[in-house]
Amino acid sequence: MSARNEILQSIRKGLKHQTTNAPNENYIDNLAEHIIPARVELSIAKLIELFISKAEDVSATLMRCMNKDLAAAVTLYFENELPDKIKVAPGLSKLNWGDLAVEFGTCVDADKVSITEAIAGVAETGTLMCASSPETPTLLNFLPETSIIIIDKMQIMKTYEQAWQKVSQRSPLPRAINFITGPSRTGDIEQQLLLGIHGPKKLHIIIVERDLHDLKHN
Amino acid sequence: MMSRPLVSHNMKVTSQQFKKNAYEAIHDEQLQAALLKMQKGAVDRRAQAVAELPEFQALRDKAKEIKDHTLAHLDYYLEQYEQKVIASGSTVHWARNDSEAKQIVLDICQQKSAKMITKGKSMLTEEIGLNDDLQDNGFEVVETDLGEYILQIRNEHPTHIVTPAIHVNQQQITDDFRNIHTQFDPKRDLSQAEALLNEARHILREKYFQADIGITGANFLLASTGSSVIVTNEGNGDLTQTLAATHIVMAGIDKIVPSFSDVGVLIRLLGRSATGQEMTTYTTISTGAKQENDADGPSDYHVILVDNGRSALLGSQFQPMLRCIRCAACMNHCPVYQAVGGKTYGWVYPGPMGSVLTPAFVGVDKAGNLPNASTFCGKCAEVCPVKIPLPELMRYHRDEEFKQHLSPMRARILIKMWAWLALRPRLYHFMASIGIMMLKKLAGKKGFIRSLFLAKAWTKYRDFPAPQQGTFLQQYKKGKKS
Repeated sequence: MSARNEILQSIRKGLKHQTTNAPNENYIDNLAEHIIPARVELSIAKLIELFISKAEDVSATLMRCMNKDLAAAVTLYFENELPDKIKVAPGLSKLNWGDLAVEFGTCVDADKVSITEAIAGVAETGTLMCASSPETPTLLNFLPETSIIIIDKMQIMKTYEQAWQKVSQRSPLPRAINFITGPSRTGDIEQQLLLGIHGPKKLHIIIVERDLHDLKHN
Repeated sequence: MMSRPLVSHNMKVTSQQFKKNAYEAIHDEQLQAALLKMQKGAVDRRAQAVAELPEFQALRDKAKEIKDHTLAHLDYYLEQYEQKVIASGSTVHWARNDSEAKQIVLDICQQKSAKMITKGKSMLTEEIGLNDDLQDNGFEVVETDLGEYILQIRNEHPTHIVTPAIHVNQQQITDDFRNIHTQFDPKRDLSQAEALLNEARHILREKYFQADIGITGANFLLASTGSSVIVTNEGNGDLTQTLAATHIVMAGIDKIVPSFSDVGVLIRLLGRSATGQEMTTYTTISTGAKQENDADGPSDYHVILVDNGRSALLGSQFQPMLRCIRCAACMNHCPVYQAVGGKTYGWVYPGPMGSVLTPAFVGVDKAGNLPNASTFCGKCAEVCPVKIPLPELMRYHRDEEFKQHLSPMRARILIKMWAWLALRPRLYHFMASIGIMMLKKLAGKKGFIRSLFLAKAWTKYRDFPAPQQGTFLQQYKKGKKS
């Protein structure tokens, strides 16, 4: 017998069923009733405040700006030390980047700074949800030392489940869906909290005040 | 009685030497310092995270319900998962045991003419001893989780399932880096932890790019979408699975959950229980290989579903153990683990969860010491996010050990004598009152006994408190009269 069938048979033997043990539909529906933490039952304005404070708790830095001021916000973030090159998600190529030295595409090892876009923010824990696509390649989120992620203010939601709704209907699902909460970290050297072991050392979140898509289509 | 799974295990089991291991661990000052730090850090951080989420207990109930439901329909969800993975254009392999799982990995590596393999953190691959096999077959294997990397260069095994190198100190890591990373200036400054971090980042970065195959574990497998979910703080799992041309996911069959809403419940518990984080830094849901026009991602995606003794636990008293999400809260809070560390347990899984899993996987004859190395204080069950009754499950192993005549003769005789006495309440009561009288006499006015016959091992380190009053029944009767 194949390994597959033998394992399934062993499971059925343990569960005392002869054939596939399909669940009762009602029970599945019942399971889908989420427990939503009360902390997210807030007005939109308060929800954004919660998102900011939770993201700051995990060492992210944040800014809010109108989307026409995005290039200025990025410039402000770097103060006087503008990077030689910023790798930007192809999906953001239509935005006005001013004098910034931007290049579009996914990251390579040499890229020190990236800018990409999150599909949703989760206020509950200051988490961003990014999804892979030709417009937003995954490595932008992991390779550079400084990761800048833009999130549309209107896409800041309460929970992971709400964020998931934004991608779950896509067919096929994006190859990689990344929930990101702060910069990369490790506790493996004597349990000290150290940032930036493999992924970004710095995570900077820019909350833009108007729908990005409006601007993209302008 | 459960049937013993017919699996062999690669890592040598040294659980038989628990007492010797424990003695060494207790006298290892460095280990004791690390364990004390863990006790202060992990325990307090979890308590704070739990206090900040009033829904935590309700989530534990829900998580238990989700896992019980999934296990009750495990065949259904595994088949659903398999169909979805195949529909996404990828391959599912099934492995009954460790040798089959390793052979599947070897076949893929050979088929791809791979040279280098990077790995995300995976306790399953520790369980089956994957690295040794791959290296014996000429492949270079690199662990990318910092803790696992440190252990790999030290040729050691994890002593904790979440922070695997918890027993290693910074000076040792510094020395190891100097010995192994000979490409750098031997006089470089490694005095700060950040310098070690940057060096590891640099070294491992090269490996991600050179790797032909990236192997990760899975925290969850989503039946409804055929996705694998990994949860990491470092981001190493993501680089491992994105940069290699082939991504292999290795997961136990117990990792299945029905859908994303279930993951929502479980991730709210996982980070808080493991490290006191409200959310672990990266939670990544991967579905298949690179899609058309994607700029990055693997070209090939394989999943290996591993049984290795798990299906044999279904229907047995140990089925609840399959709910485990490997958060390590049980060991972080265990007074025995806190005293002796993970290596003492003698196999892959330490602490209370290991004391249940190890005898179930390798046999109570080899690991009978583990369920006995518990004070049964119940803290593990109290903090378990999926409410596994760990002390109860350990007790089943103790029963089994007794039935198989594996426990020491002296213990067996004493237990039998006690049982005989306990079944005769009047006699028991009489003997107990004599015992109390004698202990009181021995203690004198101090109320403590310095040295006690038959309990020398105990009184060697502490005084024995003498009973202050009579037996419970005597006190009860007195209370009734007054």
